[in-house]
Amino acid sequence: MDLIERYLAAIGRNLPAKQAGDITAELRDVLLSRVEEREERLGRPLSKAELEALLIDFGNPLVVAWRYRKIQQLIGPEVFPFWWAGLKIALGVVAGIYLILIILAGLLGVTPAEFKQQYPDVGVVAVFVFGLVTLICAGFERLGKTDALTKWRPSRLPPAGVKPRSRFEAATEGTASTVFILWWVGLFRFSDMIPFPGFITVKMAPVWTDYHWPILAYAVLDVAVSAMTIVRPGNVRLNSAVSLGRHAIGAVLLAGVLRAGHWLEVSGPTQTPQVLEQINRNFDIGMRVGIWGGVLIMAAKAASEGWRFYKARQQTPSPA
Amino acid sequence: MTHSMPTETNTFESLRLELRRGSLILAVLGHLRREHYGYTLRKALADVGVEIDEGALYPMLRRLESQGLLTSEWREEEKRNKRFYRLSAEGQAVLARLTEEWAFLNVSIIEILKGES
Repeated sequence: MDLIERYLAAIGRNLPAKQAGDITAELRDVLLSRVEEREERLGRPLSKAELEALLIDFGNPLVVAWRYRKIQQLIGPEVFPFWWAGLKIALGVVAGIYLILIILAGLLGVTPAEFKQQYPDVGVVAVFVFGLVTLICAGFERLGKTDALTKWRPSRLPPAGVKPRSRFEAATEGTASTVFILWWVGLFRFSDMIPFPGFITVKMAPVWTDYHWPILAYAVLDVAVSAMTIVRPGNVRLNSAVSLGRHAIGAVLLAGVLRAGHWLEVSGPTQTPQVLEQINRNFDIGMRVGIWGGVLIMAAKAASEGWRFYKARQQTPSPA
Repeated sequence: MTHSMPTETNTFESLRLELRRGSLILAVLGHLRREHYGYTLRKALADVGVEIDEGALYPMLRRLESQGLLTSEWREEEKRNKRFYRLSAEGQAVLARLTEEWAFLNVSIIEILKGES
């Protein structure tokens, strides 16, 4: 009978302390009744192997104890779809952030070894995010707050014929804007991006100082709009209206910057004035093309968002 | 990569278990109109063809008790302390409603199956 006591003690260790004594007392009676019944049938005491088999049949102590717990699952069927969707979004955001960081690292000439030193391993971040999403969902499950998750309104669904912006796209744009803000406020040095270090020095022309705050405000707006899309992609009308405004503001800003005519100041102590003038001219041509491109892209995006807004409006009946 | 397809027997077995699982509580509550301790309850259920795993039965009894549907007391019988369960007043009311629900569902299902045959 020592085996039964060991078995019950193992179950008791996995039960809430308050209930352990009571539950194991009841299970002791069940097991002894089983043993007696078997012995009566066999007409002899059970061997050690037979008793072991009986206990194995009764169940693993951890499993038996766990059935008495209030919480039977970390994430139940009600929360599971939210866990899965949340995981997809969170991992999409991580992928977007790393994509931008890798592109930026490539542009800045950061070696893979330096990149590894500066940023945590993407696998570690993914596992952390997995754990965080799981923890949050388990919290909802544990606190019984599943209603907060499952509450929804049909009117908040995107119109059937309109494709909302993907969360991955919004995450990538939001990350790019965040990186831009960090660079714009001075966390990255502009000189890091000079293609010919030592040969020339490139500084930003005064026009960028004039537009410093409007551009910063635009980038912050960009991050906010992306966050809005990530949180509620189905709200197509609002998202596309705000995006339209954002791209229109961007186009106007760039058009204003374009009027300056001179965007970079190139100097080089070892260069002749003629060479420097030529370099300055070439840089300005490149910038003019780039900024014009930016204006056109912004205008095209504004038009695309306007079309999305129009389609969403056509398909969503106005509230009565 | 190979996927094991569920056989018809496996599918039937899993559906059978699912079908029975929902009715086990009704069977347990129904039997506990008379006092039982866990072991005799399980045997009584088995005698009428309702097999229930002990690992599921005892936690279920605790849960029903914590929901106020059962009362229990420790008493000595056959030289051992046993925990006896019985339906509480609240349990009787719930059982009556569940029985009604069961009867309604039963009639509906039979009607559906008759129509399909």
